[in-house]
Amino acid sequence: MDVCVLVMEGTNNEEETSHSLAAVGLRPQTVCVGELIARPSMLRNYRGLVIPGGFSAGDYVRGGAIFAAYLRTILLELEEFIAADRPVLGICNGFQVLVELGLLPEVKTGDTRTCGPKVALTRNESARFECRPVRLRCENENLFTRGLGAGRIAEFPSAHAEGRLITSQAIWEGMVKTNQIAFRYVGPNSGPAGYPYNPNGSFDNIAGLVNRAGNVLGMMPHPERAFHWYQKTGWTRNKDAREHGPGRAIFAGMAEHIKDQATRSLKDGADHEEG
Amino acid sequence: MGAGTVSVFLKEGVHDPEGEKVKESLRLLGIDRVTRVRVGKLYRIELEDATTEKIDEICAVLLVNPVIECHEIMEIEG
Repeated sequence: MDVCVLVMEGTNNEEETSHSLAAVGLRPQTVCVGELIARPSMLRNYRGLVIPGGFSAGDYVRGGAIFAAYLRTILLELEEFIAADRPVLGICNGFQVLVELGLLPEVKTGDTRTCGPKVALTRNESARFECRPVRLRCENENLFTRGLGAGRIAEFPSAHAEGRLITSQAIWEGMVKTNQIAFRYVGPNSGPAGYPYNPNGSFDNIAGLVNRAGNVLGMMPHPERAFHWYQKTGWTRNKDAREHGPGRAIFAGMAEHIKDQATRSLKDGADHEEG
Repeated sequence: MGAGTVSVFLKEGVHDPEGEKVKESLRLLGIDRVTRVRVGKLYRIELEDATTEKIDEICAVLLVNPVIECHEIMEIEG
């Protein structure tokens, strides 16, 4: 049940991410991107991959661009990993990395995934670092969000300067058609989110994307900072409501999927031996 | 040793909030005839065999996200 938490200089929140993974019964292992590039086959040792938030490589060039450039050298191994239905989660800067890699959104020509970035996560409309809780509507039920459920609105902390999703009309239509929009920011009364409810000016209020198969999720807000009940806004006024934060569902969904997969492969192995 | 100098800007039509903030700051400083500011980056890349093709390649692999950005080679030396 080992999960790779991939880091490089400037990554942060890897501790909270590892804590969240361990709390749902997985075994997080922090791996530096340099180690993985030197030995890409080590990816096969892991059941899942998380790219945490932060400011990798100082956010020089663009947020996530340098991290993605490193990972592009092992794109084949990453694609194999994804094709094997292993879950991949990119949080904040990790989402930027998945976008820069061209893994999100997933755009295909025929049966082949097209290379290069299809959208951009760029400077917030306000030209500021925006840091506060935001409300998200879960738009897509997949392995990460099955504990939340499509249509559920939940609060997650958000903290970034480059989260404005820019896309062409054609790519956006494709994302909608193939159900790749995972989360949208919502405003008061669950209506459309203008600023400040949409903290970055992201097109169509998009806060997160998921690939077609539903095993690669990228989101700007931080589920690892919304894991425990005491991380929720206003918890001091509502100590009796000790429900987990909504972020727990994302990690729990990942753990459930990984455990199901492990059980299936054990069973297949046993059937094979019997056969 | 050669070098290439390349600028990277947001494409026309992509909103540039940083540029707008700079323009607004200039107005507050009394410089109010500025009609538009675009913020970009300038890279000077020193390398052997600096050619347009090589600089274009560097832009493609790292410096430019073609969805929102475009580059212009300002100078090739050596």
